[in-house]
Amino acid sequence: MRRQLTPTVLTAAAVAGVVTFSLVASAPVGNAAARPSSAYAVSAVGQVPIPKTPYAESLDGKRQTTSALELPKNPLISVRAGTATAGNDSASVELFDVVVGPDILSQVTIPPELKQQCSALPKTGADNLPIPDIALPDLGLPLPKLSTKDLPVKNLPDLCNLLLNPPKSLLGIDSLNVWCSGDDGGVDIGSLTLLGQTIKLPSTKQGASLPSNPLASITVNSQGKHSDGAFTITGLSINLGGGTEVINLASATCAKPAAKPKPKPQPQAPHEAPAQVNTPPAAPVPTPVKTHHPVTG
Amino acid sequence: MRDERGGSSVPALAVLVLLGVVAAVGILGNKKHETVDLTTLTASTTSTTITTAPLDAEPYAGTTGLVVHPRTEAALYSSPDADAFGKIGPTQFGPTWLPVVEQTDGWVRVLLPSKPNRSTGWLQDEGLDRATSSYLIRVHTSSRTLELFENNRSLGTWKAGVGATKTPTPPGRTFLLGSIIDRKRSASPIVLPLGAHSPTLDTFGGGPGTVAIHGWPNPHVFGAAISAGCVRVPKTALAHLQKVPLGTLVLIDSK
Repeated sequence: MRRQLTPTVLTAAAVAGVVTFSLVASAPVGNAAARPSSAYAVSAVGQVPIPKTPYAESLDGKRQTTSALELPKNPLISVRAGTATAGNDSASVELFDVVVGPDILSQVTIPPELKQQCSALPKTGADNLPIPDIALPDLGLPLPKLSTKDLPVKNLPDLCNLLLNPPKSLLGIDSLNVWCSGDDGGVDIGSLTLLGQTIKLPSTKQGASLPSNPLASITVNSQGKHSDGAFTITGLSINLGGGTEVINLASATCAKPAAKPKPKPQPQAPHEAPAQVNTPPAAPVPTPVKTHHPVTG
Repeated sequence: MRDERGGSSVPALAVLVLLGVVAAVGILGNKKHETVDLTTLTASTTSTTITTAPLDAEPYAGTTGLVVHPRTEAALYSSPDADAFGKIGPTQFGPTWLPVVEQTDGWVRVLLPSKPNRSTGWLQDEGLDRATSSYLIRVHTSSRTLELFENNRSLGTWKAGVGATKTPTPPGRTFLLGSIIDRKRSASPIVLPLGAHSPTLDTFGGGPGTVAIHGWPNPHVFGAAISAGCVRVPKTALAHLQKVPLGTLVLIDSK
């Protein structure tokens, strides 16, 4: 009974975190100042902050595009390429090969007792063997203290397989595209893997979230309308360690460009007749004349 | 009875005389140029020389594109309200269209087709048709190219044959004077005479040495300093140039 309580509490906490973040992300932001259309591929707040990279912004409605092949140096996340575009009430982001938590489990030193258990596994009938509760070492990531119980595995053979053949990342996404136009937007996600396992996203509809786990809670397609009329859509929001680190991937904000100031009418003297401007008509195309005239050749 | 009739006619006669004097003063004083005897003046054409014409003070400047056409024969003045030195007719090869290089109240200064090169004259505004040419032709004698612009946008640049060292294409601003088909030039009958003349040849082929833009059967001349002053251009350039209105400015420089 006690064994089942810990994951349940953690799961409940994670779900609470996801719900809270989703609400925060979706809530209108009380900012009366007009904001421009903008877009960015990656940003993170928390223990490992990453500024919005690459970031595009359009103040006048003209299309602006920026690309980046790498992020500021950090231990948390890497991308192969990201492009952000912002324009007239439109914005979009393209992001390729995102890796969150690279080589996270290869750092784990497997305790001798677990190693022994794994090597002694029978070929069949081991599916029901319980997962041992062994504390995992600090992974250098903004995660709470974890044990093997917190890993997304169902049984001992799965745990052994995960630790003996560690995946390359905590989370991997091969492509992520986000766009918005006015108050509309959409998300397109390619293959997504969590600890080496391909995850089938339930949907990319607004506010969908991945099955909760204590490592990361992930919200797909969070949308929000701001008080100034701007609209923001974020492809993936990854919440690590119950909010200690929040990563936003592919976010686009659509806003109308600032209105140009109207020219003030020039004061006119009363009863003054408007100036007459006679623009001469276009000169005619000449009609060739048949004649002879010696020219200099 | 006689006294009564004589007494009434004298004041009436005096009033008539006074009105006549006032009218004569008005005509002579205010409309001095209407009395110019055009028959005594030399017409400005590509075949004439008027040495008293004022010369163009800004021979490499652009214009607003304004061109004028005299509806009837009109006097040319050396400056507004000065004496007439010549006249310009309504037709040259076709209708006369001249580029305006300067304007003042009631007057325009135009480039003239007569010798010497860079001749100008002032015309009274009355009796002129006005139009705008959105084109500009540039001839560069060093790079031996011709450029055509419409509304400041380039329509094309072509290699051109220009005047040889001893018979140069005259630098400065001139204009498209006419568009003719000369069947005596069987190989390149399309000729666009300009308002300029060869600075070194007083006559050429029986003509006054009029410089023109025209084609040439042998394409090797394009890009060479080879002509007697004319600008030889390829057929494609000529096709474009034939659509350019008369009076359009032609700027010839040594670039």
